[in-house]
Amino acid sequence: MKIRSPRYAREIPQRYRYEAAKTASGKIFFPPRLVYPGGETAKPHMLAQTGKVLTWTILTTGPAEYADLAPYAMAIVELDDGARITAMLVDVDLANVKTGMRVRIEFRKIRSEGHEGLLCYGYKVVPE
Amino acid sequence: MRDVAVIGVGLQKWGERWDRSLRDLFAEAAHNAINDAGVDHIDSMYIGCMSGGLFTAQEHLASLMADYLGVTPCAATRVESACASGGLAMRMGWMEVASGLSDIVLVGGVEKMTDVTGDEATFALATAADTEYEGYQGVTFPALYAMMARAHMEKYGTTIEQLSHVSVKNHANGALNPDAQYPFTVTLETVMNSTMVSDPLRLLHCSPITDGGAAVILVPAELAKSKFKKRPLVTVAGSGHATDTIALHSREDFTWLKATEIAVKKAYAMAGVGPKDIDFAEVHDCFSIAEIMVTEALGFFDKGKGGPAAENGLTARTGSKPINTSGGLKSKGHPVGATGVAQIIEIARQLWGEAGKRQLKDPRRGLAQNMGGSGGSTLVHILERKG
Repeated sequence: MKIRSPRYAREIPQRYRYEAAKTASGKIFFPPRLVYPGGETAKPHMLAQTGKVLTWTILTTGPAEYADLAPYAMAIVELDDGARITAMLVDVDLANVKTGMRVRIEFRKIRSEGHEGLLCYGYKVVPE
Repeated sequence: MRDVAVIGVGLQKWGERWDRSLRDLFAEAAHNAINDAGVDHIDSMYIGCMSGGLFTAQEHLASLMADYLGVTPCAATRVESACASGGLAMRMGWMEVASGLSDIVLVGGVEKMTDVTGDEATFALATAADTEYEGYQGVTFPALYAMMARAHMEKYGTTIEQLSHVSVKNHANGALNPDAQYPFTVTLETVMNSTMVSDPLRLLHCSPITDGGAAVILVPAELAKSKFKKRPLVTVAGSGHATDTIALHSREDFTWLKATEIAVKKAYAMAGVGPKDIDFAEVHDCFSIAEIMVTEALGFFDKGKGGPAAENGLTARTGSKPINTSGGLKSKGHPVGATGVAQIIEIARQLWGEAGKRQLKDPRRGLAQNMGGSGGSTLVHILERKG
């Protein structure tokens, strides 16, 4: 499915600038929300740029737009501020991917869309 | 609330049904259930379907299915909760009969998954995850469950052999189910050497793409006792429903299915029973790790003991807690919207003594657990045989 530009643009603060929100009790929400559990309010917060792998997998086959990248690693990463993200783990020897390994966020091309090959960007993680 | 009985069931041979459309699959299963129950009309119907839109470019299933079942202007409602859509339809139908609003309700589920390419099916299924923050990053459903599997293996020492035993066991059961998509046995070696999909999960740790429908007829227990006496009375003793975060990464513990824990606690409380009182269960083995985690969340086994339980045969038909006697999603197939309803069918057939070659010895109480996405929604139903 193609993503129309308003939908893509709406996510730019998160995909380009890692904009999150932190509630009064200290919990980080990524992406920020309009409503927070328990009626809490939140202030803008930028995600920490480094963290560690909590769990991971290596996909032998990916979704159509990512098929050319296979095999590739995906990980759930806990950033050093406690926020958690799902991200592709790249620039790594797949044999060396391990739970607990240190990683940092990098701004990368995620995929290209349609016949026009429009580039879509976002975050991936690489070994720190 | 009124006690609610299951009095009839219907489905068809599942698989790549190129000869059947979305509407055919539903109408055939629903018609079979109506005939099986012997009802002369239905007051209302529910249709569980995850994505008629993405799989077949067809929405508005309420009208379509009532039309092609030939029951318009009968009230019809399509419900969606990803792979738990069928279980949700069951809960809605149960509520409508229990509340006294309707007496004869058809609960159906359907999915037509092979009218699109494998890539398109993968895309449609991936919409059950967080499209913007999981799908966009490059994960698939096998990848999400693979990450749960790895976390479970690293935390509890669960092994790939244990995961593989789940597949072997479910195929052994499915081989005795003529409606199953893959009614054959597989060896541990075959499972462990099958194509890698998303490490550590291999092809034979994953449920397939399936076309299929399923339907049951619900009536008040009093009506079943007076008018539909051909079978032992089987009633819904408990129903539970809960949600969890859409994204796996938002969960505190990737090895624990909290929505399943909460849903089953509600169902146990309603039924006045606990895990030890359940004779057998149909659970959502979309991936073999899911069955292990579900049997832990249901309280059948302690945390981390689901793997050894599968390996030691406790969940086999001959074990102390038979799981997925139908063959489960793995062998029977997983037409996502129909799965939750087909689980109810297997429980009812076992309780009626109509499960053929896979019949358990005199079971009294069975549980069905149906789960959406990576565990973001869960439905649990407990059925009992009375008398």
